[in-house]
Amino acid sequence: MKKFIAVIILFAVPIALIYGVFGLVLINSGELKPLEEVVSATVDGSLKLYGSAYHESFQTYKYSVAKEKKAEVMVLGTSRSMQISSEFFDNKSFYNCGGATRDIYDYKRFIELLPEDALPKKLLIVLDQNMFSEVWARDNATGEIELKTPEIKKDVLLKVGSSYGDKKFTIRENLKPQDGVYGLAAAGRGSGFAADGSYRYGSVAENNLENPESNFQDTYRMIDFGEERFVYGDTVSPLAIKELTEFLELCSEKGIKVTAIIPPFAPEVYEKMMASGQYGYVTKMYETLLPIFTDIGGEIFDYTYIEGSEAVEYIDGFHGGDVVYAEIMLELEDKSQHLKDELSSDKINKLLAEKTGNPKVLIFNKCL
Amino acid sequence: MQLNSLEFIGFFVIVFAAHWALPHKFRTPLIFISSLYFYSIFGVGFTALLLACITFTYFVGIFLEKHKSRRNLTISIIIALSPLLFIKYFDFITGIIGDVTKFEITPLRLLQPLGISYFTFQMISYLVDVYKGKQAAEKDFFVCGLFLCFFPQVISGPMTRPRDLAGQYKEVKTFKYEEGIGAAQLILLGFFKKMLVADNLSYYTSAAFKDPANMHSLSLVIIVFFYSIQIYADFSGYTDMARGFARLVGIRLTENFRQPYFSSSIKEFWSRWHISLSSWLSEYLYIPLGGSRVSPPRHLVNLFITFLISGLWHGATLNMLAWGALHGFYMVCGAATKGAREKLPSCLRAKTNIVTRGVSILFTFCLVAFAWIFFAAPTMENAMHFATNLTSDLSFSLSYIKESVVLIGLSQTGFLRLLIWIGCLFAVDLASRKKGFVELLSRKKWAVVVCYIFAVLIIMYGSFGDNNFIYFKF
Repeated sequence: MKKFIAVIILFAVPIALIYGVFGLVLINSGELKPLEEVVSATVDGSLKLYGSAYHESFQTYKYSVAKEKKAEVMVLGTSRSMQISSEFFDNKSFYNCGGATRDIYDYKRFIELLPEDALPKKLLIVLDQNMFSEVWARDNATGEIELKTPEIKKDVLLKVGSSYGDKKFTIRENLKPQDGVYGLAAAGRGSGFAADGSYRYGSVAENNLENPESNFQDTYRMIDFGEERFVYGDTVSPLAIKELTEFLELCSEKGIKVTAIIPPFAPEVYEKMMASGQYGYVTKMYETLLPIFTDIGGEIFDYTYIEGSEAVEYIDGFHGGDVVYAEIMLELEDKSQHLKDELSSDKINKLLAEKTGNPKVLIFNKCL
Repeated sequence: MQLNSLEFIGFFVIVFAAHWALPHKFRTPLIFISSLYFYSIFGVGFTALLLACITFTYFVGIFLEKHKSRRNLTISIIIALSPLLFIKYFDFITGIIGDVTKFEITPLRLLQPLGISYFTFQMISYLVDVYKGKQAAEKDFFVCGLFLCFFPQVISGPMTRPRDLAGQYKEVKTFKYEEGIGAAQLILLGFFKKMLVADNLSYYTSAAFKDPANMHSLSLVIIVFFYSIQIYADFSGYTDMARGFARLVGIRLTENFRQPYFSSSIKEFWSRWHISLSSWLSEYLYIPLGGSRVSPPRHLVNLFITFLISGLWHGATLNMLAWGALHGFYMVCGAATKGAREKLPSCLRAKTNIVTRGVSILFTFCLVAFAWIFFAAPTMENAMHFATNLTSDLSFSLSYIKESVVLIGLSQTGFLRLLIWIGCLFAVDLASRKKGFVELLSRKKWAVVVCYIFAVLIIMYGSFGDNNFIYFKF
């Protein structure tokens, strides 16, 4: 028996060492830090990047920061709004709550939840096209905003091995703690939220630079079969319109000036969608929503298709990179009544002029 | 509590330490109580039922030994079967009656105790063996209880006959180093099969079987192939773990798989797949029905009935019935044409060589894989979608093949990686086909290297989610 136990222990020692190293990576990457600490670091500006690999809770995080930051200019939307950076703006009181909404119902819920003193003066909302499909608006209505603090998962140590196998981080670069970096996705891949709430794709943005359309395969599949965000539909959902109207009325009541943008698809994706003839609601969306914004107060701009933008500037078929959004903001500085005083064309042009070697990303000061 | 979970390993370490630290007379009660504790984690109510079944089996076994009569045996089997029939089949049978007669019977939707199909069959084999005198009625309640509830096997077998277990529980044992190492290697092999192969495949197969629309035929073919591997890796992985853990407390459970996908006929497949169930059905159903010692048509009927019951044992659904019927059909075809095939002139018969055997293995695999469609699909509609679309738009252009992989939700690298794990599984099977895995590694210096390769692959590429074993639901 003694020999057996000794052999098993000897066999287990290298395995335990491997897990010891993974444990060190987990601790030093800040993956196990409580969300409250990340929120504090975000609010006091010491955060460089937050990207959790196993404990992500976008809504809780964004809501908690927004409540504390009390930003004058706020961005609200899904992941398709997360590339809008404070560095496009003159106004320093800015926060991007991108990722806090999942559907059209969440916009109103989010504003209703915020305390009066945390409400923004100006709100830039990004309205994903799929939210206005009749099917999506009917079938994908989520419940209340989830404000649960994620608990540290007990099997997280076991899962780190798989992440390492998938090359999501290197041990050598993550054995030492990095100041202001929280979470293994941030430490390992450079993916996560900066202190202004905007998102850095990190090494994900390096994928397929030579053949950018291969990043659109999943999107093409969704278009082929009318699945998920690319659900078919002819008319703009009355349910979504009703919800948007109520949201705009709420903002008007609270004195929030709303600017909305309809976010871009990669040109190839847009062309495929149009060729399918199945996306009537996408083409009708702007003309349907414009009068509502005009009536209640607010402005809306359509960037569904940006002529001249290139596939390589997109992360996937429906997530534009930093450059795409910088160019949208540049145009808004010219067109938007609400945001023209907040946005800075000088800053944006300067960012666009800097060469990064990757047409998807810009070099921001406050990120890694 | 899965056998590959940290909770189970913690539980097992305590049981293992206590087992070998205690004197022999306390070991069986310890394993019995540990087994009940293990089972109670899945539901205290279920444990009460299990305990009732154990008590029934214990007393009826003793009674049957003293009062051997066919009537007593029949009554005791009916009682033993009743919880299974009531819980598992009541809704199914009343549903069919309702469909036929249009008389609506409210379904009970009872929760099915884990492993009920297994421990019910254990009860029956024990009672029949006592009646036939193959085994003496067990006087030790704990030993009798362990026939049904021994924790490594209570959920999904292997169904080791009570007559083979009784002696093992009573034997005074000392821990043997070689046994222990062999057991640990079996457990590691089980982890490898389950976490690296089965669980990584299940991510794609479960999604596809739930929603098979919008996929190319080749995607469906790949999914069927993946599922065939997944169910083997999952179930044989569980069996390896169960046998390994049992061996660590001195109990040898029966072998359940012997490289089934290297079978060159369906008959051979069933002598290598889920061996403990196949042999149970053969001993307690097929042979009592008359087996092959009856008229040829009756023999075919017996075969078909046996496989139909096998299907129903797996689940009270039309899909399982179809799966059983399909295998029954395969077996009937094989048996019905056996005489004609043997009478063929030798020039028309393919010579047995590596090529013909390879073709037979491939053909058998295809038949088995096709039948798995009915086993895996959650509804008959989805199963029929699979079955009727396997070749509808098949093409061999590179873009079509690439698209088919994408439609499953896999990248090319991901697909390649899965193929490598499947290749590893077959390599292990091929290497251990003569001796068995433990014997293959026994006293080999490179055994430790193989074990480390397994361990590192599991750590880096294994799935650490909460994937249940497929056979847990039976």
